[in-house]
Amino acid sequence: MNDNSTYYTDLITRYFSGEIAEDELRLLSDWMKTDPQHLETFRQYQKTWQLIEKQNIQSKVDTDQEWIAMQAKMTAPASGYEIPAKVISLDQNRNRTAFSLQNTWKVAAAITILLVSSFLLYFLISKPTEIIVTAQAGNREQVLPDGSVVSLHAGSQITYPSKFASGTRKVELKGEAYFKVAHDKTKPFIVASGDARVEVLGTQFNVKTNSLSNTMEVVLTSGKVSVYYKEKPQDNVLLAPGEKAVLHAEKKQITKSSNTDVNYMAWKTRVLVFDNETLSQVVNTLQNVYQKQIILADAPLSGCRVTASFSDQSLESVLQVIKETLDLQVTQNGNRIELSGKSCK
Amino acid sequence: MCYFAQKYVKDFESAKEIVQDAFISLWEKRETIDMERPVKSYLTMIIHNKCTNYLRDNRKFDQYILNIENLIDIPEYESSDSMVADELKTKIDMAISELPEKCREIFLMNRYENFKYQEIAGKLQISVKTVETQMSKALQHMRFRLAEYITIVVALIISFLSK
Repeated sequence: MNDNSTYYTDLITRYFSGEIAEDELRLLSDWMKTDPQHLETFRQYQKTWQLIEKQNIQSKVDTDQEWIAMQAKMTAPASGYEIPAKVISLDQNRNRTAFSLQNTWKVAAAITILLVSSFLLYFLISKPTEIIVTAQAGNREQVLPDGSVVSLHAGSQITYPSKFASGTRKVELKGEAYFKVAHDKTKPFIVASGDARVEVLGTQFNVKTNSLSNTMEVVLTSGKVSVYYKEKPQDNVLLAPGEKAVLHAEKKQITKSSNTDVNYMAWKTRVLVFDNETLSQVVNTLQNVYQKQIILADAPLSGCRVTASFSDQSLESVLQVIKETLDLQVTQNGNRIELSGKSCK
Repeated sequence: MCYFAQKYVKDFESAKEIVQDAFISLWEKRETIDMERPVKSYLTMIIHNKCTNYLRDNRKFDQYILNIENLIDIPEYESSDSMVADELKTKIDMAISELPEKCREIFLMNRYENFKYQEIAGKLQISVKTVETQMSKALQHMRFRLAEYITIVVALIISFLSK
């Protein structure tokens, strides 16, 4: 039976691919007549064939192309046919159009995605890329690969790898940022600026770097940090919550003090609290938070005291209150704001 | 429509032509057709006639077999259920990928690139017999893999045809 069955299967295949000869056709037809089993076999192959062909055609036929070709044929004879104005709705065909176009796009898209993703994958796997995040106009939050959250003050920039390699989680900072570091005993989190290092285990703190004065200020909110210069890690300063460390790059000195500036995080929280604060200090804070230059035009004003709190207010509102309280004048000179007045009440 | 025509004609290019001609014939007769009847049925009729004429002219058909092919349609897959269609497509692609390399190559050349056995044999420097055998093997594999999509309506057909 083996020889026979492959012979007829071959015939059936030749039939469907259109290669069958006339005499073979008769043989096949006779064979099918002799036994319902044969007929059934033929049927199954036929079904198989049809499924494949249907799929084949749907992916091959560009209905738009064919339509254009057909229109050409229709307008060719000199009887002057116009492109059919009567729109004959062919539901079946419409489905086909959508399907075949869709299919072509799907395949193209799939291939593109495959290529692009394998490209990306290659780079991601071979070496972690560096990511640079800059807060341009306003403050900006960024989640790091380990889940830590960094809030960048406007104009600041951090650089970190797309994947934290073993051992450490290092982030470079230019400007000011508030860090909420995810706990990870195996990998200390390190903020670097120049040679200065702030090493953390899991905590919340604020780091401010100043490229002009070459200083870095670290204020700890909660947790524990160790601050040091990379050449002298043993000369580190441990901060407790509420403490501040100031690093001077030239002398490579670190001074620790209790943080007195209640508003060290105001740039992020937009909450300002002034308790009998000197106006010059207030102006400093406002400059930092709102990123605008504010000048005291008259020297005696620096000693004036301000007691007020603001929550999510614009600079104009804050200045308005101060102006009223201290009887000052506020003038805007381009990007510079001037506060002038006699002396405080 | 092409699919329908190809059932008779087997040759993709000819099938496409026939379908186009059918549209044109319909267009030429547009004044006389009854708009009540769905256009598809007109086209189907025209295509059927053109196909039978083609076969007659090319002398490669058998009335018996033709009748058998006619009776069996796959109405369930005419539906635009894209999920089933996608599933089927995946199944087909998978089955094709399972074919041994040479076999798959030959199969794709014949079905997707529309090369005749002779042409394939020439291109791959093998005998036509080999192409045949490989095609047959491919179809057997496909039949095996797509078994679940092939519903059986045996009794009906056989009883009808035994008359």
